[in-house]
Amino acid sequence: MGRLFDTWPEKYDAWFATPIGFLVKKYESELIMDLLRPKQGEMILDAGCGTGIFTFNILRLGPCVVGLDISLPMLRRAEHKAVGYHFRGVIGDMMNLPFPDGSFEKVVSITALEFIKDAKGALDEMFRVTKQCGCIVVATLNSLSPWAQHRRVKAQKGKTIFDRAIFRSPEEIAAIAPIAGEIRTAIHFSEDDNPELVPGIESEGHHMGLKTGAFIAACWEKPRKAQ
Amino acid sequence: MTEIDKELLDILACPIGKADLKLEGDFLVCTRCGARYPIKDGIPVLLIDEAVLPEGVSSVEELECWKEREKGN
Repeated sequence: MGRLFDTWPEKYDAWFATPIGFLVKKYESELIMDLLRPKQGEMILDAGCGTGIFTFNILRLGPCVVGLDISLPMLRRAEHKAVGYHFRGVIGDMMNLPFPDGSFEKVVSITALEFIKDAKGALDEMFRVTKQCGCIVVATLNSLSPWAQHRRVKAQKGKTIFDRAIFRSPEEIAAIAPIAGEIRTAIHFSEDDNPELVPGIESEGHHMGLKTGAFIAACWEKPRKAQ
Repeated sequence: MTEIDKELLDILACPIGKADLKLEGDFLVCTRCGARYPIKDGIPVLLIDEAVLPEGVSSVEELECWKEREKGN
């Protein structure tokens, strides 16, 4: 599994630097930050942090972030971006998180769940390491979006990392969680849309509360244990 | 000897049974089951597949942490 990602870091970062990739990152980040609301001094786990594309936005607000990933080359890249911030990298597997129960105020995982068959097992681990009243924010790619179909076609041609990805719907994500949470989607435009028209399309999708955006973000608050 | 951030060491646990780890040379060693996890370039590698098993133990299933975890399931 680690090896699958080891050859990928440059390509992955490069895509987000294209005009449409930049907009995707912008709207995905806004949604994540709106749900996660990182604060100074919090301990946050970024599970499956990869090259740290989204980690940096979190770090800027002052929390301590532990970045966990299965790939050493990806994690090295994340550490490089995080120089000067409170970031610690750990190689680990999301199914077996190397932390005691209740270690973090918040846990975030962004486009990592699609590479895990047992999504419920991974989510259970994230809940376990979160403190009571802390929150868990999970973002993953939406099977209901046209982007999913497009990525499947590309994957069949063997060109991308997505041949191993499992796309899920907002309902499937809700169903694997132990409690009810808030689920939103973003990225209502397509890869071929004119970047100038994107803000309008995105804003319309947001206001209509569409469930078909390419990017699903879910947020749960871990309940206080009954005494 | 490998340096590792104390703040990080304090929250790390054995990925199998979540017991505390202690630093021994270039490894983080589980204080319950004795599994040894390498530190590569200052980054702890806490993967069950990469654990070095203690002497006399031939599989992960024989580890105390594994038994503890099975009890919990």
